[in-house]
Amino acid sequence: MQIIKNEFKNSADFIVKEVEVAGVKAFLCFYSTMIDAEMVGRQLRLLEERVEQGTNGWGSSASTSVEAFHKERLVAAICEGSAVLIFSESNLMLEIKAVKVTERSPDEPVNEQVVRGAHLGFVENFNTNVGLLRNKLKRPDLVVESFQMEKTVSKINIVYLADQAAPEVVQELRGRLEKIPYKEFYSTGQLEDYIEDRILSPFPQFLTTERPDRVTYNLLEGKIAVFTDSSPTVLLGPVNLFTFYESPDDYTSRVLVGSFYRMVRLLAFFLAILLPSFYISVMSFHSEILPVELTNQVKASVKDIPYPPVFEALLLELFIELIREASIRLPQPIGQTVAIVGGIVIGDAIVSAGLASNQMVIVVAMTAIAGFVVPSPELNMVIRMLRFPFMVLAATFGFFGMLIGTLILFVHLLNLSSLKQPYLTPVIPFDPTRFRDVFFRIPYYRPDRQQPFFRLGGKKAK
Amino acid sequence: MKLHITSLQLFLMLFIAMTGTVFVSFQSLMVNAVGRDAWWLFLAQGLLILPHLWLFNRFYQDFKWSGPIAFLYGVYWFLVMASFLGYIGYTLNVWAYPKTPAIVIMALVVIVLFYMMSSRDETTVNIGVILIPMILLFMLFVYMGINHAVWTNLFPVGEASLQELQRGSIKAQLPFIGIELFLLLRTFVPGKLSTWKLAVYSGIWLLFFLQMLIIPMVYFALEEFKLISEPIMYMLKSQDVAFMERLDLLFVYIWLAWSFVAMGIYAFSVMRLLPEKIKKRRTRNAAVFCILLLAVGSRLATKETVRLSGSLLLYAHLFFAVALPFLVIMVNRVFGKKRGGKPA
Repeated sequence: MQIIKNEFKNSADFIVKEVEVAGVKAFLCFYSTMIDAEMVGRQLRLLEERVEQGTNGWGSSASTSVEAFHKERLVAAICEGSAVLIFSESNLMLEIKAVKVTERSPDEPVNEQVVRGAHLGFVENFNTNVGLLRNKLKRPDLVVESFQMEKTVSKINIVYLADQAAPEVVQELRGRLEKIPYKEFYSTGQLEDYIEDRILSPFPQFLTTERPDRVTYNLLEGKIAVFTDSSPTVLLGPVNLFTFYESPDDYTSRVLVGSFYRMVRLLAFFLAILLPSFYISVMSFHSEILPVELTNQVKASVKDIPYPPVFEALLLELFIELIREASIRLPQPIGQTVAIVGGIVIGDAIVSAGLASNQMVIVVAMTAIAGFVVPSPELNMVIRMLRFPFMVLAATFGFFGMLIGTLILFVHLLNLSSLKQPYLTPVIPFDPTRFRDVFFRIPYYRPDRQQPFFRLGGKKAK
Repeated sequence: MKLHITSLQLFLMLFIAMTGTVFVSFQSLMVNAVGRDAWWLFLAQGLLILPHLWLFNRFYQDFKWSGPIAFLYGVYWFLVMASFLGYIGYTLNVWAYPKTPAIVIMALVVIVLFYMMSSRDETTVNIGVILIPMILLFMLFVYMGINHAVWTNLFPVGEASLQELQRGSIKAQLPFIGIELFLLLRTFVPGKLSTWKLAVYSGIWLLFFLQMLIIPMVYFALEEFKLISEPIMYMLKSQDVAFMERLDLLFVYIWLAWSFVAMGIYAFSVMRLLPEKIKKRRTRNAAVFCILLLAVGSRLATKETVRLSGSLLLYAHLFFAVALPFLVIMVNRVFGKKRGGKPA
């Protein structure tokens, strides 16, 4: 008994009890903080009944299994939340799966809310999450594969539709997961580091989501979902840049509306990266590009500003980032207040103090809004970050600097891949069958024309 | 692993490489040489692109990229790139950054080129796609000048002397520069390439350059071409649109992006010609190439050298795109037959 306790470092919540099951002495080991004691008791009573009745396979049921005693297996089972009964005389151990599940309800994720459609979200339990998926995808080719990391209890699961996902992509991901050295995983972010194609790229190569409907749509498109056993966040791959611009709302809204907003979001990508640098270029190098009336107004507004446009832009962008960080860290009602106070009051004060022009405030505010349009928080952060090198390039070389930055960005995006699938597909390489999906929410079916109430000639429709 | 590209990618690369840099300036050279006869002379010469490509497509397997030939083409394309770089440096210096030393501008161009060259092959093959919306936008801007078109500027024709027509014919070769890239890029396209596809490509190419020639011709008077070296840019500069005062400033950067990609395609081709042993060290090769390019290109960024390199390039083009390919193909076919080998 002491040997087992030592194995678990005499932890206060680790319990080893000597019990008698149908007249046979055994040790019952478990973490009191992890198991459902009532269920363990019930399983023990059932076990006793089965032994007394002489049932074949007395130790095997949906919740229990018997195997030869093995120390490492014992440790793993207890750490997973099972209770283990050790029969020292027969050198057997019986595992009772009775993990106490503390689970919140599958509420809609706060950062992925939609107007129409399901309001469900994943929770911190893989079984519940797969259950949510199976409720939506009632098909036998929904496959779950589990990867138990060596010497650890962390479990990674991949879920895909066998008839939809490309086998070579599934194999690629499987290969990467199998190569992961033994480590504990606390977040999907750690896992991403191991399975991404290019870790040093700022662009995410997996889409993260906590929404079952989003996972469902993506599985139907042949993607693979990667779950860890303790996180509601799911990684979806392979993705392309345009995947990050698709929102679950696109699929629930009307065709034209969904298409319009998808295009607005794509436009926002360029606005969010290039707008401040465009303004800096115009103000610093190419003011003659603007119509004369506008040039006069802009020049009048900046004539009393002592700093160059790049300084104004950096100041305001930094200020926006501070507000954003502060509003995330604070409780929601206070966070909103900080955002309002920061945005309106301090922004106005900055202009009144002559540190920045009105136009720059407009540009920075529009840029911030364009950045927040992106449905993916990961890509949103990348866009916000990319703005800064573009501003520096614009301040140094104007439009030429912007062009250099844009080309470098495109070359980088062209070099990038997700699970070896090109990142800019279906635009580059061009795939005409999927190209339309980038810009439009394509209707799922073309409805037959509705029957008229009256046919020509006065014949009434049936 | 052998690189495979589709026929669409081949034509896009060829189009970008052939249009890349020269399309802003060839109009003045042609009009100054033959006057109003420039447009029909170019049309007549432009029609030759199809038989030219057809012959290349028919016999490309007989054109062996062996040591000395690969070396000659490598040097030629390198010099074409250096001349483009010098022209970009000079033009930007004149149009946008008179106070910035041209070498700084060119160094930035070379940095982008280095990144492109050290990327995987697929990147250079596909990057031309980003230019498609820019090309359409540019065409739209150019067509905005049609309101001020004086169609009688195109006539009367047939006034040029034989000598002028000869000179004009040489100048009309400028848009053909880069056609020999087809011989190399074709080797990456598996299977047959139909004549129909060649005809479509030739049609698009001809239509593009013909528009680029005719629109400035109907916009400017004949005498004005003597004063302007880049008619397209001047045309855009003089257009009056509500949303922007200087369209040319925006266009310079579209042209620049176009030229960058064209240079990337030339660089890609040069790298493919390197011997297998050297080819593997991609980043080192790209670095050496870019340093050399900057060194040579920076010497060509003055008005005189731009003009001189442009003229020399024309004759070099006639040798590398017409004389040498057909000579090599003929020799290979004749010797292939004599040796009992089967010519392709």
